[in-house]
Amino acid sequence: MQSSDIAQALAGIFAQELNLAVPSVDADLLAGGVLDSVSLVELVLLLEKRFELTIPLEELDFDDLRTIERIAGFLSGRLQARQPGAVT
Amino acid sequence: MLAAEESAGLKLMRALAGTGCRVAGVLATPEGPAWTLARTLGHRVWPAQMVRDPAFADTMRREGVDALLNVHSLHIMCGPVLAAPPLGAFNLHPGPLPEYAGLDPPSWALYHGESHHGVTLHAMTGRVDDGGIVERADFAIGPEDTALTLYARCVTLGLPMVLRLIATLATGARSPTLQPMDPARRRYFGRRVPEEGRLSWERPAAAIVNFVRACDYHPFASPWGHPKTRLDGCEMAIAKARLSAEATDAPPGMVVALDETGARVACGDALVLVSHLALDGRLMRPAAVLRAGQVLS
Repeated sequence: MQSSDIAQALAGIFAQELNLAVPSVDADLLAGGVLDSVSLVELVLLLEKRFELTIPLEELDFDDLRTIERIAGFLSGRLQARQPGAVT
Repeated sequence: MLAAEESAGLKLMRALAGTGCRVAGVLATPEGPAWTLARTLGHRVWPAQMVRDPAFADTMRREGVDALLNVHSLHIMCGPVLAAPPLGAFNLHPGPLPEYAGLDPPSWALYHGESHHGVTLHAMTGRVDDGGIVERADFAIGPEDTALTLYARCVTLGLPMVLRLIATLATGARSPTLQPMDPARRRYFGRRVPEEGRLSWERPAAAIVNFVRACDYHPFASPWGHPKTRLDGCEMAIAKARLSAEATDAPPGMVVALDETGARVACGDALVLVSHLALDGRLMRPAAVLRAGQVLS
């Protein structure tokens, strides 16, 4: 799954499941107050279910969460690492 | 009218948008996230501390406020403001009442090693976190829970309570049935951080791990900060730790072993696995800083 596809899926999760309006995939979610503490926990739970991943909170960094694009990049890396034969 | 702050206040405002519920206004920290969202949604805003001013009751009556809902705003409301709305004033509290009144209940519950936590919606009186209970939901605390995940669960369970209350109030201008709080079970927790925010490695491993979890809001800032320890006169903070179930006769605070999973540190009765330290607001692995045989104090 490509990062752009993940970004599109994320935009849908923000809009439909978190009820959060994000103007664009490069909009700052933190400075804009979109992604707060509870929304982050909800997002992680939704992403774990949707992408069948485990995302320990300690592995999250604000830099990974700043935009939908960056979250997509973070997820893309974790999905690739899960591929058979991936170097981790 | 809403007195709204933090994530819970933002989520309630978003949930109310489009429901037909008239929001007479929002009390919030000026220019903070709740203030900004309220303005975006077209609500009138007032500084949160107005709830301390008896004259604000006149404003509420003038605005036709039916009910006042406090969602994670920490200002103590004065009597005339509480009495102004004809349907009452209500507070959503991220802890089980009356046992966990006051500040930071998720952190205190973890610190005390509780097996369950809860969220309470109650009518407000002049006393903090006191008044008849509209609804309370309790839930189990899991071994992986942190203060952040408990807080999030309180909000997730609590917001539907607020929406149900609003629906009840809207059906016929009647007040909900209230269950009295048992004053004998009341415990109040203030701003003081336990143990002055410092780890005592002589304590049992479970107490050490509970303290670390109680402070853990990563990646957000913790109201308690991370619990601190010292190494050779330098202060550092423990961000993540869990029980290792390994007995030890090493002196408390000694780093017994290090590997990629973290540092095994001796406590009063067993080892704990410290997986992350906090340095300058970022998490790091202990192996980058600690060496086996060193003693934390």
